[in-house]
Amino acid sequence: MHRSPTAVLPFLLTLLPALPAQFELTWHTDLAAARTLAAEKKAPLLVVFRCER
Amino acid sequence: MGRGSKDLAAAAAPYVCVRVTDMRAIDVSNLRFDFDLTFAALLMHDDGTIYHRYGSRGPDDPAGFLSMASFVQLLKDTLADHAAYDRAPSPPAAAPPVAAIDLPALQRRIKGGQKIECVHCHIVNDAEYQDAALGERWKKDDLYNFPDPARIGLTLARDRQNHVTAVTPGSAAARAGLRTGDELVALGEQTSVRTQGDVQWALHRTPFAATSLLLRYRRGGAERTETLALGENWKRCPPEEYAWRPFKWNLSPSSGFGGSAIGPDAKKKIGLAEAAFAFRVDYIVDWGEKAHRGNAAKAAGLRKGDVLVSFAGKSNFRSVPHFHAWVSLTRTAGEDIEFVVMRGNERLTLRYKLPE
Repeated sequence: MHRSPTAVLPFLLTLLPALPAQFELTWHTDLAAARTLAAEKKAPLLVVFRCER
Repeated sequence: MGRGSKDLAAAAAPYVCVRVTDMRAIDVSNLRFDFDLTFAALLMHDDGTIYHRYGSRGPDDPAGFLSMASFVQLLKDTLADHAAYDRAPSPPAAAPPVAAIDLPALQRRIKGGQKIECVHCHIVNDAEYQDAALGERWKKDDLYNFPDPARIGLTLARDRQNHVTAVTPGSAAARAGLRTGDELVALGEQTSVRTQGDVQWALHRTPFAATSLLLRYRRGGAERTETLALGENWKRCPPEEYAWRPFKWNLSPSSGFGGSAIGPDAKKKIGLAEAAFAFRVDYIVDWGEKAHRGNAAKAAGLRKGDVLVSFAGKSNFRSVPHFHAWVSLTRTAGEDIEFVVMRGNERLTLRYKLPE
């Protein structure tokens, strides 16, 4: 019934898995905790929604 | 790991990054985006202010408006937006938070014994629609969420998404004097436009009945302001552009059956041209609260395995989703419909009143 997300995977695969270690990006899963962290660091938030249906 | 992902990692490094795959805990009173999408990103302040929305698609290609270049550029550019905002913050008015899982429609499903494994983004749309319909707050035009920039006559660049690549003659944008090469700066309540998602948000927030919309753009280094004159029904899109949206399954009327397109060999076997539209009826909705739809189709004589070749005189559907969107957006419940199916090599004309 729903379209497959397969076609966006090439883009997502470069975005969401482990990124190069030298940048040490951490992907949080708890948005509330991430907002608190962003406030402490005065950093902007990047919130990615990826539906896995 | 390609160059693009290294650039992305570098651009994302100043951010606190969050990945959400289940909407249940997300405060949907504040975090709004096009919930029909399978991929979207918000660039925001911790106080809830959303700087930009990223994630758009074309009618045929889910990734048609995603690009690494545009995303990396957006991450870089938004750092300036964040710095500027921090000098003069204006947090959004505090609305009572509503976690998606607490939407009344989902709570009713849970109380009814249904286990909700994952709240997909589109489920938020479905739940909000059900609650609005129940409270008689639903208007049919509400289905035209997050209108494409094409609704005002704009085509934007995939890699620099606030850059105009085409202006449709006679459109609101054309009448306002927009040209190819112009760079959108602000639109409606979106005070900084950097993405197609930003444009869609501004259009989404503009009422259906609005007659004008303020636009700021840059041409040759100079900023200009124009008012877009919006035509009647300006948010409505043709069914072929709506077909990808899972929200269409909420709409009425509906055929009461569906299935999958058949290939050239199967078409040849039953004497259809290769280019002809045809789909095999894999299911007839004879279950649940929509069972009346499938039962009407069955009463007309439809059987699983039949191949639909035309409906209400139309046979040039681009796809099965297009067929469903066309039925819901252009037909009327109770309308007398004639449809043609192939059963083996037999061509049958069936008739019913289109179910609500």
